[in-house]
Amino acid sequence: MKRIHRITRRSFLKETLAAGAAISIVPRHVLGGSDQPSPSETLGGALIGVGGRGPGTYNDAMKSLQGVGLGLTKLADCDVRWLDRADNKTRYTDFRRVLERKDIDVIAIATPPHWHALISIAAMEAGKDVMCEKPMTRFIGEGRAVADAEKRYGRVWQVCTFGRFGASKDPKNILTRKILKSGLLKKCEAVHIKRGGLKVKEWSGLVNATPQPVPSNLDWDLYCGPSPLKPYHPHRVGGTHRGYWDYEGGGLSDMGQHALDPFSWTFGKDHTAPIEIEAHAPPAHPEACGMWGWVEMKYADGFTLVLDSGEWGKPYDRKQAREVRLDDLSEEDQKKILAMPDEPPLLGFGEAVKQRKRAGGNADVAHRSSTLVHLANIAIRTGRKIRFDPERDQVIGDEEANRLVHQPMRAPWHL
Amino acid sequence: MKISELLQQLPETDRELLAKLPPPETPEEQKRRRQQQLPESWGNASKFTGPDPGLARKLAAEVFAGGRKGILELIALLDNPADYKPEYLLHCMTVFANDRQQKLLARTIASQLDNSKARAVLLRELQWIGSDDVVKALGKYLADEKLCADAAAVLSAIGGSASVSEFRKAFPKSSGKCRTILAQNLGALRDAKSADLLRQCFQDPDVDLRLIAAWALARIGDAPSIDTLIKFADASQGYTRVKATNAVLLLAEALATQSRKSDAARIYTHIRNTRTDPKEKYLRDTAEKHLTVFML
Repeated sequence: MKRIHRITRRSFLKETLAAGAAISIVPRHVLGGSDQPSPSETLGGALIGVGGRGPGTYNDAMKSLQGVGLGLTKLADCDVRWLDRADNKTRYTDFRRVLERKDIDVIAIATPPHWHALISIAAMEAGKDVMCEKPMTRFIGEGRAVADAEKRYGRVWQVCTFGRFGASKDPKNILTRKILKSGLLKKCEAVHIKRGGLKVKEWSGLVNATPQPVPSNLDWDLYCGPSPLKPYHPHRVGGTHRGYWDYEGGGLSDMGQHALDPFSWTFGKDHTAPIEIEAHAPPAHPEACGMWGWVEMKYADGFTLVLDSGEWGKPYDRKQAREVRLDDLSEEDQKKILAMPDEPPLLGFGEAVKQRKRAGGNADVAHRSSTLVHLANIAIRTGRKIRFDPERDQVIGDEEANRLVHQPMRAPWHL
Repeated sequence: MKISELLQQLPETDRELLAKLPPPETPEEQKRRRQQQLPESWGNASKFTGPDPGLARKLAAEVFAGGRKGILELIALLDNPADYKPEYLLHCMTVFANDRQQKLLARTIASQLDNSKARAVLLRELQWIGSDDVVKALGKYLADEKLCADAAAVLSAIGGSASVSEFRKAFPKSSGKCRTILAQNLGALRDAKSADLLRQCFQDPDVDLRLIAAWALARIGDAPSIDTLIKFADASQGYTRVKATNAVLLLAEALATQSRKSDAARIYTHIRNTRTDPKEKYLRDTAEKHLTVFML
């Protein structure tokens, strides 16, 4: 009987990734050749979103490339606030013009997060490698789309938080990861509690801001981009954009991925997500991010992750922190764990660009760590316990919560 | 109890609390207060803290107890945008409503869209809780330049055949920004019945509209559009070429997953053979890789 080879979209992208690795796309910047730059040639770079953290983001990309013997020269800056500099040859107000430049190979993105996914995707469609600031996305649906584009085009994408690289070298973390990834731990009772450091008060939005005239040097429509076109207020731009759901998700979004990305690696959660999420918080304002107390997230294997802001209400006291222990396993299983080989080291951005392989903080794993932040915020915003399907990236049985997983975008911007 | 009295139980913002303090006695105090009253300055955001969730639920329940009349009274108070409390309580109701209350709330909100000065607020709440019940009330705003984006966001969130029908119905008479929004949402909801309408967009001079139509037809997986999309991508330059080529590749992916392998193979082969610029090598590689994956 003839076997029918039926491909679903998800399985297709998985196979695409595997094929990409197998056929080994020629690393054009590295191998050289008649139409290829030589290995010693410096790559062309551009920074999109130059304020605040922007220069630091670009430097991170540059250092990473220099670390493997590749140079990076900045050829363009882009920021929507620079209307008065639009004629300058190397400064743009529209990222699309930057992506058109064929001499640019690497894009560093440090815009507010509502632009991260769209610019990442467009950059990879244009053949660029990307280092993107955290949080990776504004909502869960964006993360999957970035990961799909990364696989489709075989580009390098790295989130600009590096805790997982340090975590992956710590012997204690390596052991924890082996135990959890082995599947030998039948009942996981571990509880990881992240207390404080999430800047909740610092990045609260205004609930009664009076609209103001748009400054002449700001393209407000382009700034809002895929988000709703709201009346302008200066608190919605600059660092304080973090306090609005339209652009980010408060201090939790701003700082959360720093803490949760290494967590994801250590506890073997890079390819899954919690299945039950509950928050203790006052009702959230529809526009402005505000206060919350704690969020409890449970995984299918029994693992519990808690974020305790320490900034509102009573501290989390349902469970005590508990580590993953080798002696939770039988002696026989302990031996199996200790005999397991170490995983190869994670590739930094520069090494990944050089080798044309996936970076340690690639879009798939970054999507999972940013999903934690988004799920916590969905529980805060809906005020109820939610159940999540990690395979389908969907909230189960809660239509309103699901509307926060996949949010409409303002045309002409779309995933 | 009157709605305005219920609202008094909600917490005040920093700005409101500052305004109630006695006059400052020293210049330093004067300066400090002035800084605090300018929350737009860096790091000086209003430290808004909502009430205890129990109180918020109780207030929402009291408005619901007044039925449609209570909700209308609250909606009327939204006309003063400087007071955050009516907007906040309405959102608490949106979040805490049970199924029956949610239907009442959504219908009541939709009935006020024509009259309220706070339409954007009402549409935002419908984006949370709107269902097929309110779709017809939203359809008429799809031709309104100012409201079509917000109305479309609500319909897109609701999804389903009723929403698609409103987008499709509004499309033929639409123009400008609204037309682009409608095309995008027809694609987002993968409406195969709109393929003919979307193909007509390639006669339009607006490049944004043509790009959206290409993406929408790709999502639909519309095989009759293969040549149109390829022609558009091949003739484009710069960013438009990048996005149009992506639409061509998305169409191939969609066709391959529909088991239309020869159509997919034709597209990938075309991209592999035509993207000859050294800087488009990644596209040749992408096409080659997909031909391998699909065993085409």
